[in-house]
Amino acid sequence: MNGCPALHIRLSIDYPGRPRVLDDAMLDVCPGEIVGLVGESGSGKSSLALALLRLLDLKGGRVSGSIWFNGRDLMLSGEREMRSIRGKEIAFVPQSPSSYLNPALRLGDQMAEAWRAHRNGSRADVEREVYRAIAQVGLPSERTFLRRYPGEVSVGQAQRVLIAMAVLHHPSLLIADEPTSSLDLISQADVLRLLSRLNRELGMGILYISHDLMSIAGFCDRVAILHEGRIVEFAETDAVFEAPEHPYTQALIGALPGRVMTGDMR
Amino acid sequence: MKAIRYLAGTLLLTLLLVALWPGSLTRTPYDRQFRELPNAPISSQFPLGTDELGRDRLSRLLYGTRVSLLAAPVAALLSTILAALVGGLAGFLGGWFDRAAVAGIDLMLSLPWLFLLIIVRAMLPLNLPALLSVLVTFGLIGLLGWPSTARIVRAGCRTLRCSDMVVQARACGLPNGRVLLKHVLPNVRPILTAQFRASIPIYILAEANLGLLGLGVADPLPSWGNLLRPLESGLVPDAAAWAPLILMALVVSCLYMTQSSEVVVR
Amino acid sequence: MKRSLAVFGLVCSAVAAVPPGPGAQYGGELRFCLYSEPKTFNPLLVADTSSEAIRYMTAGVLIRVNRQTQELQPELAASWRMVSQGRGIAFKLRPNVTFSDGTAFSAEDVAYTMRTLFDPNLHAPTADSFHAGGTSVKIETPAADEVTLTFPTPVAGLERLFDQVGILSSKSRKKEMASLGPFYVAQYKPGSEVDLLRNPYYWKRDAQGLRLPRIDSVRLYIQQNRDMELIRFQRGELDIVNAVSPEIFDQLQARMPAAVRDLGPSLESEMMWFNQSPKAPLPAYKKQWFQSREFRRAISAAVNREDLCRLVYRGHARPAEGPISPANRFWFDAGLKPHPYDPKEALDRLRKAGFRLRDGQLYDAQSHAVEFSIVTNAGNQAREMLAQMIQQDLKAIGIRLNVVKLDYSAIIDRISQSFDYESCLLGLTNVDLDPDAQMNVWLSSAGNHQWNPNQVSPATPWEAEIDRLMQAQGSELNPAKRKAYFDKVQEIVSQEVPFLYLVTRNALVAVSPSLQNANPSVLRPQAVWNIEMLALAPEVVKK
Repeated sequence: MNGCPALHIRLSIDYPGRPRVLDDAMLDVCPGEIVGLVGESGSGKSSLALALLRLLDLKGGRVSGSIWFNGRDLMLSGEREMRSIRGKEIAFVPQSPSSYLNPALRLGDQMAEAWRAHRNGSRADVEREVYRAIAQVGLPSERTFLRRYPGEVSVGQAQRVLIAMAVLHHPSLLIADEPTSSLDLISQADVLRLLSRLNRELGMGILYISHDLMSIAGFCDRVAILHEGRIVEFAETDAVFEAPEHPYTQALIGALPGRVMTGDMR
Repeated sequence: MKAIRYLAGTLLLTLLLVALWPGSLTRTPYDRQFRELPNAPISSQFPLGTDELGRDRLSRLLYGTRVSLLAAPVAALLSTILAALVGGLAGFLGGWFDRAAVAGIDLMLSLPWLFLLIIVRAMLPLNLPALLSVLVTFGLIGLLGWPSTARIVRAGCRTLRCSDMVVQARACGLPNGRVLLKHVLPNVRPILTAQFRASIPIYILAEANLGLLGLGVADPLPSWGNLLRPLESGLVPDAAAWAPLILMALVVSCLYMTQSSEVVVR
Repeated sequence: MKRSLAVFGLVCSAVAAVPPGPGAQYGGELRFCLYSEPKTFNPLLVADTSSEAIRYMTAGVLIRVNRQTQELQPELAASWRMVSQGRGIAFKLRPNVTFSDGTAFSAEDVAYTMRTLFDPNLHAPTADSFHAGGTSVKIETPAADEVTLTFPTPVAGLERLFDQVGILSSKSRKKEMASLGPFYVAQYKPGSEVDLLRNPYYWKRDAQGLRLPRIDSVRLYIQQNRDMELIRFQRGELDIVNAVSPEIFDQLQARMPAAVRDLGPSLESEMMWFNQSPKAPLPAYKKQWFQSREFRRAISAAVNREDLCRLVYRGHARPAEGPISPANRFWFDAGLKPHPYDPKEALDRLRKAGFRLRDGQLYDAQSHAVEFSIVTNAGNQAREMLAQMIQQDLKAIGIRLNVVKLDYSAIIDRISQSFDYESCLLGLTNVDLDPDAQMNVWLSSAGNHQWNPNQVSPATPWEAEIDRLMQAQGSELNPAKRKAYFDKVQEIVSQEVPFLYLVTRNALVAVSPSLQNANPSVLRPQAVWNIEMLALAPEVVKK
């Protein structure tokens, strides 16, 4: 990894009535690197994902600190600048495809909207790009598929649509917030394999958020452990597994049925 | 069920055609006063009898259908669009615009409309062509009808504003306008269509009540509203005087039936 | 003096002529509706109809205008005579009269009432009709049963004015609530009802010398909803409906033929007029039309008044002759005829005034299509129907009439402030039988000279002539001469048509068949003008 991180954050998050959901959490992602962020549910990891996109105010959270991305502090950026970054430089793959897709809009239209958000082009351009992205995530690039409403495709397909939408503009950073949580095991593996491939092909960094350390161990270059609002451990994946420093991490790894060796993906 | 929908649709279409060409079903002018035959019973010359001035009830009903059936939906559309615009923006943008819009809605709902309409009528020119009186009347109804709908739309948009799908759309970098147009409004469409449908009979009756303020469709042009007015008095009207009420009930129920079909298809 | 005595005899014989029926029936409660809240119980301050009805039933007056004969009839004044060349009037009071609270009635009470009435601080509406400025009225009580009033100038129709002056008690602790009439106000529940009780000390006796009134109490419901009133009448909860619409009249007639009465022409008529005010913000050519006598006469001839009566009022109306209804027996000008319906005459007159009919559209000499609007008050169904029929009649002579319905205050503003209207259709009620009360309409300088109010000097020779005639009748005391002057006014109006009189409505009332001696009058208070004579059938009283 080269020396200059693409993303470097130091953030605190408060909710009204629930202060310090995230307490001075520090994290960085280098260009092209996959960083796993692991924490139990409610530890503030989803808030962190939205905070990075400066979208947490929609959910009522207040963010303080800094988000250094490619040499600027996004905390100081205006809404206009943020809009040009979202989806183009930093993309987001959300948790549950069923609620994150608009049930009243056809899949193809939602993708087209996402494409048009950052580029101008004819209807044919849009169509071509959407088909390309759809193919990239292994979905049938057919008109009939794109004309479907989100309710008319499987959850796995919907999740792939969300990924396709995220990579439309070849972002330099992808934030994936437990994109596999609502999928079965085989689909989970598929999605991880897909992300891993996109990481290689497009050279984009990935911040992969998960509650399950084991499932992503083989996939991440580095892992950050989030516990009670703090990053308690942040190191190379191997190092974390071999010599966990924090008691929480140790408990996390020790709780596993037998020791799973890190290495290639299952 | 489907048969009923077709029946309702056919009926509506027929009525619409009648509304467009009432002259095809009657040759008696709607304003011709057969003064020797006031309050005439049903006969072959007057299929629905005559009114107190000896005017052919059928002809008045047909021409009244044209006024009400064409103008009321336009007014309903106008108020629904206004409601969508104001309520949508208020709920979606939040902040000062929301506060201003809510204040505006509350103000509109609390204004003494009767009084204002009287002032409006007083400001209109005296020699207003009949067609213009229809436009002014229904235009006013449409302009005044939006606040209650806007309030409902605003509530809907407020929940949508922080919904996952809007977060996703924003994460793709969509600008406000597109989010509102493509993600928020389509999801309040059920509210809007319900309000639109509910507005039509209300507006038809509102026109009748405006007549009491001198703002209705100008004489001698008939409308369902002024045809329904005799039913308001303490008198027991002739059977034929109920015809406009029956027709209105029919149209409204047909509207409901055809509308519900659309929901099922989706 | 002689006349009044003759009148008294006439009234007595009229009373005696009423069939005795089941003898002298006493007791029971009479019930009917007032359409608005009474504004005052002080007889001197009455300005609204509800208060006026209560005053009629409770207050005693010196002279009564008999509502049936329209002649004067002595009440608390046993007799009177004019003095000081018509400037004064001397009353001889009825002896042994007592207020409802037991205090005796004397000349002192009359003097007190008159002093109060003319007190400028009281602003009594009734005082205005005497045209007398404050303290300049001289009030004397030469004897305990005599009162003399002297005015600075002669007052036309002076005697009739006393019909409106309810006598107050100068001594009673109940103040104006002590009454000399057949009833007194016993209870008032604002918004709901006024209860009157029989005055035990009422002086009047019937022809057999039996005490009056026959009825024990009157319950007046304050009820604005006329539909509700009708329902209650049909249920037998009300005994009288004083104003019935033609439609309801016909319906009631079918169901309870004994209950409805068409009393013939009332004092209420419908009329229209054109805005002739030079201040009107109208195009000059339109003002020219409206100021043209031929134009106005043409419009009048184009309106089919018979049809209006037949369709709008179901025959319970008649074409109007002029400002005075035939219900006003003395002042009606029998020589006047309603303008007949004659579209040909209308077109002839229009041609004479330079108008041309081309392809069914009328144009004026400068080729302006003739189109104008008529304002009328919204919500009055009869008037809206009138307007629609006039619209149709004018269409026949190529004129487009736009009917504009406005609320009442907007109309008043247009016809008296902004003058922004072309023609107006409104009703007219002459409560006062004497035309002297119409001074404020006919004088060209008056504010209610609707077609062109507040003129500095008369705009036309005929308006100058009307001014002269009105002044003349106002300073004349001989009734026959006054009538001659006012007949001339009516004739000029019929010629020049500043007002187009359309129809005179019939007075329609509904009276419960169980109400005996009912003999409703077209004058207010319609069915209860002879309240002291009214009696309820025994089966109703028992209930």
